[in-house]
Amino acid sequence: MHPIHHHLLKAAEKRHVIGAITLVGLLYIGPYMPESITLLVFFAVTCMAMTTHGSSLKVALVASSSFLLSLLYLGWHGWKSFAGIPITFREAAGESVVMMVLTMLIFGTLTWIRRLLGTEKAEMDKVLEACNLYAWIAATFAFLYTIIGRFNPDAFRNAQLMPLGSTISSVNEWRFDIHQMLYYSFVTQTTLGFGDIVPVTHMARALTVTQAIIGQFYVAVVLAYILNLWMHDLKRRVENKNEQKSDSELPRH
Amino acid sequence: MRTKAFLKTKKWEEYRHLIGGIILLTLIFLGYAIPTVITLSMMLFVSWMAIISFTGFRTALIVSGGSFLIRIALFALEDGKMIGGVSTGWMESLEVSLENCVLVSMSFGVVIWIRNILHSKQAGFDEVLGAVNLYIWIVIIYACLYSIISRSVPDSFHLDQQLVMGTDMGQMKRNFTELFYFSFVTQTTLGYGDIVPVGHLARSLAISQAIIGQFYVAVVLTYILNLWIRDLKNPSTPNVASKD
Repeated sequence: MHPIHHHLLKAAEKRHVIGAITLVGLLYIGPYMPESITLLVFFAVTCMAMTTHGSSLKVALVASSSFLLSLLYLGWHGWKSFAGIPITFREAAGESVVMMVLTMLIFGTLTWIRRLLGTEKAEMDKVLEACNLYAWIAATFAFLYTIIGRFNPDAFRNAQLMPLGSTISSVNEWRFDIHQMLYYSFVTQTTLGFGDIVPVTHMARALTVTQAIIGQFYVAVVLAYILNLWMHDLKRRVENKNEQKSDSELPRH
Repeated sequence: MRTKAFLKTKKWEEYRHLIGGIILLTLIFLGYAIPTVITLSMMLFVSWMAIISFTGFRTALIVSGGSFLIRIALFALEDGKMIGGVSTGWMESLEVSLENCVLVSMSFGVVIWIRNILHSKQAGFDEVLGAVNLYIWIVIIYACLYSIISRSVPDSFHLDQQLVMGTDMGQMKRNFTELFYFSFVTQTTLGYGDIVPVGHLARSLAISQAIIGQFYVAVVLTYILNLWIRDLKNPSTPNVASKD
């Protein structure tokens, strides 16, 4: 076997560990990096996950079509952002990348969750996968919130930074970036709900509420399901070991 | 895929939980765009779907029709006045009566449903989906309760801005969509604090809802999941429990 190929296979086996480390790393280091790097890392992680689940052709098709459609939409409206502010081509490309990553995250989540609930056997790796998917869903919602924030800057309100009663559009050039939305998304999904950032518009509220339900039921349904399979597997393995032991002990008696 | 095969083999009427879930999700996302009366009617429709399948059409008609008519009659007796003594228009009294009706029929449905769940011996993926629906039902029940309280005691819910700024009482009355959101935030134990209960009754209700939200997931959902996972492992013998 070619050594590089061998390394790639090894990496594929450890992909959940790599993905988890990347996501946690993003949570910690992300705010110190420019937004474009975060987007690129997200794109890389989604590509990694989706090529293992589906064909790479499908991934390329989904990614490029969503990117081009979004760019086309922005160009059609005379290079104005979703909120109606004129933007340069470079900024439009940035918006389109956000849209692309969002599409891939949604696409990936749906295929992934179907695969996960279809498994019959589970090992430690699967439990890690389930934990990873939890972070993945949070990332998906973070991108949804970001897009909503791009369409309507008043969708979320920062309870501490904003003067009481004022709206974000009245405070010029102020909007939530992806890192803040990632933080908000995790606070919502874990049902922590600090309340430092709160949803204001109906769409933002509806999404928030949906995410909170998903956050609760994910732990209760998907994680419980996987853990149950894992425990079952462990029990069987211990029983097998005991049988082998008693088998090997039998002739001595 | 298991879910796909499930969708193909079962008949249309057997995945009513999916239909109910889709209606409820639509209400969450589009509830603000349609009048409250229509939202409440759709909630009533969802509750009817379940009550009819559990107890039959007659019971559903008696329970929800009765609660609706009693509230309307109360309005007529008190010259169209609320419990707090505030007079209402024709539309609002219809809304209040519908709220009452949804509250009673959903509570009735929840009690029957939970009893049914805790007595059931087997569960498929559909039942797990139904448990998610039931969770949203409890949210709706509490939203109706909050709405009724908010109508009779207008300053029982505050927005965090208003608490500081001190606006007049007339603006304190929250609409149904807002209270629906508050109900969700409380039941999932999110607790953003952008809308907070102030009156004693509102506070006690909010606390009880948070407790129910936590224990529902821990008790009812775990019960169903256990049944589901057991049935997945031995699909050929669905009635294992009865043999035991």
